[in-house]
Amino acid sequence: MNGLEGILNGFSQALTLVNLIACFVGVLLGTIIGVLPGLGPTATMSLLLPITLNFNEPVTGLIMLAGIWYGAQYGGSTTSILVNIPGEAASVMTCIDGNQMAKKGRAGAALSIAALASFIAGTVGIIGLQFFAPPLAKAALSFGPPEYLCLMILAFTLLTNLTGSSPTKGLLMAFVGFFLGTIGTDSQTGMNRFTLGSADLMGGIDFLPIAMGLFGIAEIISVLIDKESNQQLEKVRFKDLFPNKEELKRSSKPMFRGSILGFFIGLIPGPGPTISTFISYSLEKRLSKIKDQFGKGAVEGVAGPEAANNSAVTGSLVPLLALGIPFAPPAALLLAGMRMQNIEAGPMLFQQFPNVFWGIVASMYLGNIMLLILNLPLVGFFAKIASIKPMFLMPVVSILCLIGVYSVRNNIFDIWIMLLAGIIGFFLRRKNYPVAPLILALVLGPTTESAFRNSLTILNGNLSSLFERPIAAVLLAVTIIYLIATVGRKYIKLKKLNTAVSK
Amino acid sequence: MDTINIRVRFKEIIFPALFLISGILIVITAKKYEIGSITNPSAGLFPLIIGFCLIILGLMDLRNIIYMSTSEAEVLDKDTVIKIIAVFLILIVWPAFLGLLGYVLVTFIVTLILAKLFSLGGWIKPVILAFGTTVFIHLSFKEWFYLDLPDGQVIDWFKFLIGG
Repeated sequence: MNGLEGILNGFSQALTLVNLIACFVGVLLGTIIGVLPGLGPTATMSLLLPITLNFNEPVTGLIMLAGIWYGAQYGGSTTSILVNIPGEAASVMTCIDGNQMAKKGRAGAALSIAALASFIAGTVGIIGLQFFAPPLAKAALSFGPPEYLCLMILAFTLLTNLTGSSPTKGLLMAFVGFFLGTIGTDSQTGMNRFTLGSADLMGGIDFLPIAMGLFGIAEIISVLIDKESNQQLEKVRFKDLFPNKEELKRSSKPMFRGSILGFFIGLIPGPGPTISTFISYSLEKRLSKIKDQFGKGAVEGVAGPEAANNSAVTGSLVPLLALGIPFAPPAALLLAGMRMQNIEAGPMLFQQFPNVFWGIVASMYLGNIMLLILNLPLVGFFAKIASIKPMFLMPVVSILCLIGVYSVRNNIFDIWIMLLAGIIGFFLRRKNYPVAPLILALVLGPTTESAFRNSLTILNGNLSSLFERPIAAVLLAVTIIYLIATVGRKYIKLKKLNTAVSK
Repeated sequence: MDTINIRVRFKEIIFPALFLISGILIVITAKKYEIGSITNPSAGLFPLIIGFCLIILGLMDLRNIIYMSTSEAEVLDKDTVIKIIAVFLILIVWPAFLGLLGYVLVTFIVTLILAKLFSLGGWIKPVILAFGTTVFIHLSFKEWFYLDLPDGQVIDWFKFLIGG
């Protein structure tokens, strides 16, 4: 199936009534949870994952899950601009100038610029996904276990350095995830590992209870102890939503720069949407002729980061769909959703399930239009949602977590796992241990172990032969260069600090 | 270092210490599984490597914390700790009593108590929230998605009594 055929086929699927509804529900929920501080796309996707099993067509559930993810990026800007509380980590940068614009009476313009930037970036990202994913998947067909092993090494090296404050803590979390992935019956030898004689553990620890515990339950406890009071919302009328000519002119280039930048950052493991906003903001500040306006309500500071975080989400879908490797927790949930439907993401996806890939891509075009329509006139409604008090929301979310986990396998044991993960996750967060590497390592653990064991067999136990395989050698070289650069940067920073202290 | 500082530091080393101990236990357990050879690795090799990595990283983390000049930890007050424990215990009630009380009763009770713990004032609002949540769960999960949620032994006994 070529690109044109594929996208036409995708639209024929995405335009069915059921899939249109799924897409609408996904983007609407995404916007709502993006607006609500605390409840993120990962927790929401975990909650809805079991529900996706009930749809007749696998693509319907996946369209909904994807909609939640990119929809959350749209919604995140609303509270950042109106209340100065980022609904999502990726909306932190929007707070700086967005809220300042709101204080100057330009809240409506800031919101519409954010929505427009999100729409343009979303569309640019989908075009990128459409063109990058199939050739990457084709190239990945030549990947053997050694190449996959090297790809995993590179992915986790980048991930543990980009998440959290300490690479040691990131790596520790990744290895805990790998360990959890080894629990259960070994697929190659049939040996039970770390099951402690429990029949429930023989099938392994499911990813969903751990994700819901670490993200959902830990969040509920965090909200419980959060003593911050609700803030006043800035009022926005529909007629205030139109940006003026100057604002549109000033934000057009940042939108396009943010879109391209975000897409490429999304291809890298780690919290792409969040990082892309930081880079986009500093890039816009550096390029701007009115640098002193940044932090005081510069529209470029809203347009750039808002575009970047949206296209980063779409960028993250490229490695997921083409290689079967999720680089972010929501991507891992999409992967879990596919696996539950017996669809394996990766190079074979394009041959075995082209409808799934093109259906998702086409639905994203439609979802972006829906989001633009939803976010502009209904901005007042979404802003009101932000003021729902946790005392109403959290008891309902808690019950949904419990039922959501139970509904996957009708197994109480999964709930115990989720609660345990929740309490541990809460304390891990307090001690600044990033939980994203744990989740990704848990999902990728079995694949990594299998790639590692098969590589040893293929290479006769000589791992240095990895350098004799071109793709593996390139991947390892990138890893080594990245590590040297990171250590070098830290050394220079430390040296500068020591010089400053001695002075 | 005053007593509070020592206490904070002790709390901070709990996680690295746990990782360290877990690493040692994983290594010991993994050695019991077949390691295989370097050309034909078996079930024990990967966990063995994970265990060693956890030991090394746990030690590095421990070292970082010991040499850290300031403490990252923020001490939770007694009321907050009690609230966390209470929420956690209430969440445990749902799976523990699901079989006995059934999903309708247990969902209503747990939501009601959680609403109170999240400081929802009075009794009318918490009861409405608990009732609404239970109805929503029943309609969406039981009626719409045909999820096999247990009705509970209490309801079965009640039905038996009515029938009998």
